[in-house]
Amino acid sequence: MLAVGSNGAGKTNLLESLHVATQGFSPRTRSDAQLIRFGEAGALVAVTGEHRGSSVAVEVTLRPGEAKRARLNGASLRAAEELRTRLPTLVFTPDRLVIVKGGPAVRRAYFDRTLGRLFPSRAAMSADYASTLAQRNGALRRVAAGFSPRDALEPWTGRIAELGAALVSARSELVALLSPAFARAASALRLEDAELRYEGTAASPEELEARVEQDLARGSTGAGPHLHDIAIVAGERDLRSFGSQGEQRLAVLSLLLAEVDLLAERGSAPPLLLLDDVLSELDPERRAILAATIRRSGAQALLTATSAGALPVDPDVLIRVTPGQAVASA
Amino acid sequence: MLSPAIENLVAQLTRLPGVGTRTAHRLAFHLLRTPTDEALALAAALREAKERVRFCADCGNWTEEEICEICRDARRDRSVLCVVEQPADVMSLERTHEYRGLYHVLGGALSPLDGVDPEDLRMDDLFRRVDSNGIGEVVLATNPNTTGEATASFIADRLRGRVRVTRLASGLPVGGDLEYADEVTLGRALSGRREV
Ligand SMILES: Nc1ncnc2c1ncn2[C@@H]1O[C@H](COP(=O)(O)OP(=O)(O)O)[C@@H](O)[C@H]1O
Ligand SMILES: [Mg+2]
Ligand SMILES: [Zn+2]
Repeated sequence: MLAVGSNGAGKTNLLESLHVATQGFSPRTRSDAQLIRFGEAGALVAVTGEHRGSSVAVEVTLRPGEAKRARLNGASLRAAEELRTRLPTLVFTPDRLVIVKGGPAVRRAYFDRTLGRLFPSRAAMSADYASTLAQRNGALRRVAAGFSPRDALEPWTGRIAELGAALVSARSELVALLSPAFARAASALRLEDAELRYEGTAASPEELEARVEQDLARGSTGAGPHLHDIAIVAGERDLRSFGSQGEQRLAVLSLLLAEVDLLAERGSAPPLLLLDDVLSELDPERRAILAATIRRSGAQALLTATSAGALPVDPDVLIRVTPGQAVASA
Repeated sequence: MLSPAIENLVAQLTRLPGVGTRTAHRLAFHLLRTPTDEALALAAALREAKERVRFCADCGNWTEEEICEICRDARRDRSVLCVVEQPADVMSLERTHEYRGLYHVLGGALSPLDGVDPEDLRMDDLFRRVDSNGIGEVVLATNPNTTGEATASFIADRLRGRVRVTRLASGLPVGGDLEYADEVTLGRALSGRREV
């Protein structure tokens, strides 16, 4: 599907609403109030479709100052965000370039979410590690300030070592799995010799113990997966710091396409792809490659552009967006 | 403008967990409308509970005696000790009628962010009980969350080599279909699988 319309017509708005309806949150903002049309008392997104051969109907309701409500096939979900464990959606927007050019924290968060999508049983690992780490840092500060005895640290050191090792091995496995698919997708888009590398090793209880004086002094834990990074390289070049804007965009797209590939390999239903403003930044050859790759994947995709000519092939559905209206034609 | 007495009642009610100002007002007005003897029965029950109920000197559970009913029960297996965070957890486990050993209530879980250290829980009492009372097994039944797991690991470390230490299995809700179990729970159940 291709949504076309002039700047400010509401294309991104349409794409965002599909994200809210299938994932329970906006890819752009954490503030749900921003999603409600100015001057209105609430917002509702309802979509129907098919997933794994059965029909799905989702309804997400937003009201300022209230928790979002989501219903999947009529049943209320505990939290709207629960949708993301039920319906797979992958999104590209221009601000996603931060995955490559931003700081390590952005990449960790991105790959931890990918981990949860590809291995649903591992979805909670990074949050479990983070809450345990926060407790250990709290314990460090209490011990340093003399509020707590030294042994108050022990269980937390043991737990972050244990959870940290599990997280590092899960992330390493993910990166090893993702890297070849990433290289294939990148190469198809003419970004050659692309590779992902996990940077960091787990901190053993002994290592954590050995650096405890330092940790006490700084009031936080100075080793472990919360400080690791994932290198995104092409040949000899590290795209994190030396990639051009264009290469960084190709890398983000390749990450997304690699995930589509892996989901298919693992027998998962193809995700919904939401690609905002990607065509205008690609040359005609790469637009054609992207369109063909999406076709082949069998995933349903919504792309946006200012004119229908931006896509070198005819879309299955063309949506014309004007302020307040979206009209589809097959 | 409310009378000072009502304001005070509302303020006291607001201190209860889960009670905001609005609920506190509703409760206060309700109490004022109910007949005096009924309303005062609540006050009397509160006073009586506060005066009579205390912690069992052995296990830390609620009791009106020095030692609670479970600890006094001669039919209970005195070689097994089940460690829980709260008295409410004892009630949950008792409802199963499966566990015949004794309990040890910690009074919470380790949480530096809330200022809870080992010394704030009934840890020393636990280690003393294990050392002195011919206990052969300690079952760790703290909650399967960040603070409960750390508490369990702290106790396990201290007791290692002194006594058999076991941890409650975490698994699937009974009666639920495998098909509808969330992936994290299912994954945990899978990694905790056992030989049959
Ligand atoms: N909460 C809101 N209520 C009403 N209009 C909004 C709201 N948030 C943004 N807009 C406006 O909606 C218009 C459409 O934006 P957008 O979907 O980004 O356009 P496009 O992607 O087609 O360029 C913009 O003019 C924007 O200012
Ligand atoms: Mg836009
Ligand atoms: Zn007792």
